[in-house]
Amino acid sequence: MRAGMLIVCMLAILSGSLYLTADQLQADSRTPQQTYAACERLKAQIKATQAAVEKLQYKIERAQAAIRNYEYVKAENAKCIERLEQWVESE
Amino acid sequence: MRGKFTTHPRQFHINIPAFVCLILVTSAYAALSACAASPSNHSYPLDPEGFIRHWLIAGPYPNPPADPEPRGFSDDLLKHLGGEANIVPYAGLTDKAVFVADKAKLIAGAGATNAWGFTTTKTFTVTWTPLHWEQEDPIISLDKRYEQVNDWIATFAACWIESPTDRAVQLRAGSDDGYKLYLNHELLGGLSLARAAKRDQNIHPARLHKGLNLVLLKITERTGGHAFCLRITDGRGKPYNDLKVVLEHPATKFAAKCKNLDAVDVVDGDGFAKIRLGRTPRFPGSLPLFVGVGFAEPRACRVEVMVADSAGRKRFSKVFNVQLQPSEAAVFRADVNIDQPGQATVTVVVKDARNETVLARLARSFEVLDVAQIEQEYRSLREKLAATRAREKQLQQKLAPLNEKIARLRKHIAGQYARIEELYARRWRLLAQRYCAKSRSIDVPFSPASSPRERVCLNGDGWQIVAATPRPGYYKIDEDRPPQAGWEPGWVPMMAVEKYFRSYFFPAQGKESPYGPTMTLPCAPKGWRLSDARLGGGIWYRTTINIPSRWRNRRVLFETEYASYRIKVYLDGRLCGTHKGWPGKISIELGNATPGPHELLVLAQRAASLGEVPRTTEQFYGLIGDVYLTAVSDVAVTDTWVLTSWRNAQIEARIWLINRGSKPRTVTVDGQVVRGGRTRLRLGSDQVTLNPGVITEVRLQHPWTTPRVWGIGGKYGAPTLYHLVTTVREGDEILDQHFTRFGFREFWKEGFHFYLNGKRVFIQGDNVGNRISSRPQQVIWQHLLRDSCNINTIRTHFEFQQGMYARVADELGMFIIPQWYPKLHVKGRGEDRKHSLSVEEFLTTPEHRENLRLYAEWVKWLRNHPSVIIYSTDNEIFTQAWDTPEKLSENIRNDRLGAVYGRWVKELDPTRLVTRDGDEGTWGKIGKWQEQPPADIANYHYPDFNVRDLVENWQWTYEKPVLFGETLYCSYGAWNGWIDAIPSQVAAKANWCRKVLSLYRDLEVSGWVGMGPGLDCFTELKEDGSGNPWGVSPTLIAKYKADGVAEELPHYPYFPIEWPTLSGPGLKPEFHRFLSVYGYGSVNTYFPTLPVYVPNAVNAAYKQSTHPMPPLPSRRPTEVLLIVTENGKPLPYAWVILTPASGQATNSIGVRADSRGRAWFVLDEAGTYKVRVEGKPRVATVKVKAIPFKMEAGFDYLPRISLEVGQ
Repeated sequence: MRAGMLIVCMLAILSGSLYLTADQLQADSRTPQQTYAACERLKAQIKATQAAVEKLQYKIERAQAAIRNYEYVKAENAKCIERLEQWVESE
Repeated sequence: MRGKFTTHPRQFHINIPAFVCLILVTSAYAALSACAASPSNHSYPLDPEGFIRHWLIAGPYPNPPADPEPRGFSDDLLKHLGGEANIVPYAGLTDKAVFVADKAKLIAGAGATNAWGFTTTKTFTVTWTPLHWEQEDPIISLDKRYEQVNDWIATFAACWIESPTDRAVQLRAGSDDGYKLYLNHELLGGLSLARAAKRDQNIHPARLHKGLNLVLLKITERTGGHAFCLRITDGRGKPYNDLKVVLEHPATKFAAKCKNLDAVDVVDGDGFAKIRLGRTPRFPGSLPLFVGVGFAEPRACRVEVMVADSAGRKRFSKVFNVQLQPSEAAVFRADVNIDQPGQATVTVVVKDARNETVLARLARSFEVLDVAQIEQEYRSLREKLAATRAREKQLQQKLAPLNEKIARLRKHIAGQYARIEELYARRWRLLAQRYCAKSRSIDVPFSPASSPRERVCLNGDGWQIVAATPRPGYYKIDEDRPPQAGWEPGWVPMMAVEKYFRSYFFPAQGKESPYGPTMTLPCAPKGWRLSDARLGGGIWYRTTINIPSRWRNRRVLFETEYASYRIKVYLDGRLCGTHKGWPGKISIELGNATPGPHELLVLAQRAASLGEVPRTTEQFYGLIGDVYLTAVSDVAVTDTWVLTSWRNAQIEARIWLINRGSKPRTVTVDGQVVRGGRTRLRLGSDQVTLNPGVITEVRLQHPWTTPRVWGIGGKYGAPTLYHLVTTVREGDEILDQHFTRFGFREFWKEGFHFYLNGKRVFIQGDNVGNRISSRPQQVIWQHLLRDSCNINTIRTHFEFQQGMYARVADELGMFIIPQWYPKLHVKGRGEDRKHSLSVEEFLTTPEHRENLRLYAEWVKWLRNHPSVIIYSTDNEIFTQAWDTPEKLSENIRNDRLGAVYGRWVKELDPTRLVTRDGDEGTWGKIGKWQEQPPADIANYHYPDFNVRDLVENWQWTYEKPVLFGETLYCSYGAWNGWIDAIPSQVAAKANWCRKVLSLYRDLEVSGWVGMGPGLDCFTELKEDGSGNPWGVSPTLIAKYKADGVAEELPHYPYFPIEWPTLSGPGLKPEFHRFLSVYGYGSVNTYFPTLPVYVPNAVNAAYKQSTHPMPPLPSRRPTEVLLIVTENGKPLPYAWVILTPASGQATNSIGVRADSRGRAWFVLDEAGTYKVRVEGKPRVATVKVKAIPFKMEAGFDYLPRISLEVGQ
């Protein structure tokens, strides 16, 4: 179990190092114009992701409001059922 | 470095969007916007109030409906022109607007795929165009500006404001609907909402620079009107007189004149230039410089070109003497070495040739990027992207369990509703055990007794009419005496109309003004004219009645169901009684109605003739309900009320009796319930002593655990109807036998929902648009609503025919929500609400007492109809449309008063729910005030404009059942500029209905009433005329408008109805009016050669997006036309009497035949009847069969039976 965890950690460190090295190598071989273009692409990706985040935040907000609503309905219905049960049994 | 000025032809093509983007990225255009205007610029003044009346307009752009708001507000619609915040518009600038279609939404054969009704994506060219608004009203209408689309669009308006100084100002905007406002490329603010445009709706403080200031307004349109206005004032709202409007920026003008420049970047005075230094992105190194410079007029100049780096170090400098031109720029090119990152500035100074005066200073800055910084930014952006993606994943992980929880909750709640229904069923079973056999139905033959009660319907053409004699004053008349002369043939029911509205109902209009003398339209049938008797302050009706000898010693009553506004009834010139206000049953005893002929005379007069404020708009008045003579003995039933409780398995009959005689009488009253010629339940009897002139109430109660419940079909039960038979005896003598039709059912609310007979039910309603209807029309209409739109409820809207609607609905199994409205102000104060009496003061007035009386009559009128489930006691006394701070106290005052009447009606009939349509007092916590005790039902009109706050979590929002009493407003008429039911509008409406209705269905909203199928379904104005039964097309309408008559359809739009007879129950309108706009007009009831209806895409939207509903029973009311002859000749005005012969629950029924001997009977039950004619010995037997319903127009369904009474 411990050996397994160790391997996982090593792989994670190695992949992180490789990532950084690749990034550095790429940076060395890029022209400023290419870097600029890459920045523009990243900005577009960030904008799209931020839009998706905002949409998710909105969905979460609506889902939370819906849960609040349905919890309320459930509680009120439970009271109603209890009242009806007593009423029915009163016969 | 080297360079030289040259002049040369254009070198490249214009690519305006790309070019604009480019220059905007450099941000240098701000300098241009702030530059001084050329003295030669054409400018316009603001109007005296500061409104801008000269604009550049661009549209339409798409603004499709979306949640939570239409997308055009937040979307940058000008991104192809550099973006809304960067646009530099000019007349002729073009763009493309794409109206996207989603093929996945295409409904086979009928639907559309987007809000504009397009089934494919459409791209429109948008061109910025000057608009000079010259109308007096500063609100600039954009209605019908675009041919292709009218709703769900956005329009841009732009101009430059030339200010002589820097100054603080206010920009005051009004918009229909939403708007966004930019000044000098900065967003000042905006609102996404639905509203009509008014001046100064939103005020934005702002700052104008000296020179030109770009104002850009985006106006987003949902449905209805499209308009805007904008004015500029100081901080106190005072307009400036030194501001000018400029529509063409000098840079645009210079660029257009200059042959070898495709664009001008900088303008200063008369000098202009295009200046470029490399292209974005710029990095340190050698950058190509381009300068093209020109002047407004040919002039020898000295031009200095300088380039400085971000540290201010001069990197290039050159001076030239050159002849500058407006039409051809002097062009200079060079390579400039910039080794310093940051802002590099190119400055071009134009001086006179002698180097004495600076004529123009033209400068532009360019960002030179730092390589290290870009690398740093790259790394930073990668990290930011990773973080944002992580956040996205985190949120996705958070959302999934929330959605699962919602699904679990919904499932649990569905189980709760099943449990509630199960409990009700259990209760019913327990009650059945408790009551045992005595509560069960019986089944023994029933035979109606012979009693003094008889009734004859006097409807038909045996009447004469005359206008009441006018007296000085507004609609004043002689109320006491009819004119001697001027009587003309008439009939009842017959409505008189307010002159203004005559063209609503008849092919007639006022000459020169809506109030002028009547002019018959060319489309009217030959020889037809509208009598002036029907247009004044009052109308007299008279007829001769022949009281039969067997009615001797009986009381004879004049009875009608509706008469407006006040009626006075005379027999042989003697006043018998008066009645005021229209709802309910009217009964006036005709004194001295001895056997033999008498003149019956009735005056019906408008409220205006009494100096009273009309209760509702007085479009029509007169004897509009059925007119009967009823004979009873001294002791008679005056009214009954059958109360059925499903939850308690109980039936209660309340019976009111009167003794019109002079001595006390002791009688026995017994009640039984019958159906199909069999007695089903005996309610028992009671003995009571009736004092003279006193109305006495008797109540008979009984448990009943095996009734056939009345329902709307399917699991709710078929619309089964019973009769309560009340028999009044004195010893062995039957003094009266009275029949009341009812259904055993109960409708109530529990928690957030409505229940019918123990089953949860959703109200899916329609607002009937018919002002004037007939029974045959209503039968077809209710079938159509159910079958083609899943409608189960009709909400009336002040219609006087509520009783007839309810009778038809009782038989078919539809719900009715009737409506009535109170007076809220005392006479003469209605116009000036500031002087309204307080609620407490009003409750002491005669107007309040009148309200109480009329509500009581209204309830009595409707309370035996099982179809009537909810009373709506007013409409929009205080709703969001007029919820303004300045009127809040008055609005709440009115609404509080409305709530008083809601409670009054609840007190009158506690077995039914009460609602007040659209009023804030019913809304609970979201209203400006709350009724106490809380209203039965929250009633909100048009929540579809804000589904997030008003629909999505409706239970939490309203805390009780909600009825969206009006929703999905009609889309073809006034609010949409009378766009008509053109195919694109129909398709757009279908799309919207589908979206909203499916939301209501999926959220299990307790009730809604569409505004609705009666308006938006069944009609489409197609070029070939195939969208309606009449073949009405745009071409036909154009012909009618041009010539007053369209030859192919000569009576369009007033189609004369050929009734089989005017006798028998029911108003029989003379014309069916169909223009092309509304669905109810398009449905054909009367003309057998035409189809009944043509469905449109909105029909399918209703049908497919709502809870399924069981079909209506396939039957019509039982009717028969008896044609009476004597020796082969029609017997005019004969009283034809039917007597039940197979146990039908009715007294003898009479109909006075028309001038052709035709008597039209409408019966509760089929079967065998004995038939005779008053005064004739012969008695015949007729078999009246039940009539199956077929979706066919005309009167072929009506059985006709001939009756010869001669020797």
